[in-house]
Amino acid sequence: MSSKTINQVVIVGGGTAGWLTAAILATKLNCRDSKSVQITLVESPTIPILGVGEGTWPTIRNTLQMIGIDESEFMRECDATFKQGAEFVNWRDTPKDGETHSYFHPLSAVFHSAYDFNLAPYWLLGSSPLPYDHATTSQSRISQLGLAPKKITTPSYAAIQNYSYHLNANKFAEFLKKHVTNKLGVKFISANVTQVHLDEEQHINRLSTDIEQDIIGDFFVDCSGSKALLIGDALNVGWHSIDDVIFNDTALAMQVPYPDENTPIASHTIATAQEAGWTWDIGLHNRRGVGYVYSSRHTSDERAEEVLRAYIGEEAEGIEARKIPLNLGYRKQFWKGNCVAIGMSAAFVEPLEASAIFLVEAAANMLADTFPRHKSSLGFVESSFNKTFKLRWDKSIDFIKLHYCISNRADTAYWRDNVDPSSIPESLKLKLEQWKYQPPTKYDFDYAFEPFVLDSYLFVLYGLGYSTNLAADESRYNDNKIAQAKFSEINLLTQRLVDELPTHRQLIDKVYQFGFQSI
Amino acid sequence: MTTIVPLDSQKHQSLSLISNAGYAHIQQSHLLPLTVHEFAMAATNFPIVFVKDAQTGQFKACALVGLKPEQNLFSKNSQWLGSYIPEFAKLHPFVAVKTEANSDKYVICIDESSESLSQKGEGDKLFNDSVASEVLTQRGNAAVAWAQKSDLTDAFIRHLLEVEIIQSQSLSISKEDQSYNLTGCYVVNEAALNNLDPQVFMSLKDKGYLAPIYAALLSLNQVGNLLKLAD
Repeated sequence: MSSKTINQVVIVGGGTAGWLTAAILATKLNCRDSKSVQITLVESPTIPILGVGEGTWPTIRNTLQMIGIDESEFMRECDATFKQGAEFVNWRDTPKDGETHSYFHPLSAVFHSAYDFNLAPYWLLGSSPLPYDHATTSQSRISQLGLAPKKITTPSYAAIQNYSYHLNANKFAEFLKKHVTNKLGVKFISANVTQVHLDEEQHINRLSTDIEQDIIGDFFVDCSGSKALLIGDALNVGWHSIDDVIFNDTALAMQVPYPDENTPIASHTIATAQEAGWTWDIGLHNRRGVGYVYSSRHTSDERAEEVLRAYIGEEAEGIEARKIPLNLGYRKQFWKGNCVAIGMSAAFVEPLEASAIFLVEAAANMLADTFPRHKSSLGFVESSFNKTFKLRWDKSIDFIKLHYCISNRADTAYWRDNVDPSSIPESLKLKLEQWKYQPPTKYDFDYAFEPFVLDSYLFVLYGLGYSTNLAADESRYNDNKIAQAKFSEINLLTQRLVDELPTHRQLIDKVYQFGFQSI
Repeated sequence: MTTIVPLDSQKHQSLSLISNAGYAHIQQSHLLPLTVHEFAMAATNFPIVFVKDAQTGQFKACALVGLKPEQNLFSKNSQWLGSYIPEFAKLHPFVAVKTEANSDKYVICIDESSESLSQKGEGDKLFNDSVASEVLTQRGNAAVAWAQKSDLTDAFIRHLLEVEIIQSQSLSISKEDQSYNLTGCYVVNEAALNNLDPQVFMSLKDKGYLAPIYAALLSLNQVGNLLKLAD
């Protein structure tokens, strides 16, 4: 095996995945130093990026800060708003007579993290009159009231209630591109890759393009989206479909303007269950992004568009819906030889919990932190990367499936098929069995890189009304005083925050006008 | 409640200004805005701190004149107990507001609720037959001059933030049985200033920022002065 050093990294594809990977790699590997790895990103001038990922996780704040981006500038340039979680409407029961049910999955777990003291059993035993999401966190109420997660006097990237962003994915990619090429020392080539060349070890060593001379590289990152030019076409790595678990394979997306500039902006994603999927509703600064993700096996495109338009109402008139086919699943190998796939070339598990951008960050961080500077290190990193990301995607799929498979909805074949045991992964089935008589504990999530942890599971399980029967086990939960104190602490905090926090729209207007201070 | 409105020669024709109305308007302010031009003088009386405007989040330089919110230790029975009065305190009831965010044109506004304004003809008239009186012209010019210096102060603060020599500091002050805790104050950090890259430090000198920076730094010792007044 060759011990040649790896000096040239080539990223194929722009878009959020490509530019975010370039930014994280360039920062962590200090690419402005000529002794470091040099990065080239080649992006097609003709193929538009998919550009519909509008949700992020709070980890994006660390990432943006680390790569040297000013929060207020980023928000203005990308029409970004604050996201405090998601509200799930009508997932528990079939809506009857116009009645709806909803629960929150908030991002804040600061004062109520179940990791140290789990309130769930006390809640199950009736210690709080509120629904689980409101009993155990302030953020559900804050989001519900349309309040912001912080104030204009809170420093950049600091939070009063944990938050991430909703953003315009096209503008975000452009913004990152400007930053990465101007400030982080990444070379940019605008060209279409026409051919991928392999050496005798089956490593990629050269890309032919339609304009430049060939691009030579020692290591390649495939961010070419669902085309998977490198990992799929050139290296023949297969795709593991998950359509037997998650049925949604199509999305219809619309951009809906606000009626006027004072319309409140939701500070959470509104995910509403529909007859053959669910609609997302995301409030950006200047418009909403609304869409319907559905199973084409359970409905027709025409019917799906009707459902989407009915959800939006008259504001949808005259606006075209864009259809996006989704191929849910993941690569059988994310890393092969001297190539790693990041973004949709690697995997895609529907947008329900907005994990796509998060998993790009996670992959780019691991690539940077374990970056093989010598070819001889490739094998080790390849195997650990593949192992951890298979685990992370499987765990993401379990969590997404949870939203469907414990629902009481049985109004359509779509929902009935979703609770069919044959569609539920074994790993999830085992957990659900355990949670029939004991609420989840931290020991159920013991992998260091769990994408979804205890609190997330609790919000979804008890938001959906999952039945955990503690009748035989009540005696062990005898810290009722502590639980009561925590429940009332949360209530008090909620009240204080309601008095203190501006509305989301007010804060967004101020951020766009004045910006946050760095301290 | 203050009601700041643009001055109108028709609407405000009959108003007059009582010149020795005292400091009632800042009786309940523990922070008074300062311009960077006043730092040297202000430092002989009060601690100079930087605080964020609750409405905009932007930093303002302020004289700390009380040990808790709504306390002004310098204003007592219409008297000012210090040797220096912040210019801001003398502008009232006038304020100059920019016509647009990036414009250099100002419109003079007044606080209609001010006790220093009279409808009964006491003091000096603001208008003589719709024409600005000498007093109004003079006070209006002072308000504009202050607003311009305030802009320069904003640039000064932005620079200090950029070179990272301002830091958050909650002022914990205690004397015998009394203790005060003021949060939300930011001050010049001496260690950060001393650790500046020589080139950056020289740029502060070239901009004429060193004197006000050191004035702000030394002014923090005036906390003792506040405690004395609080006795």
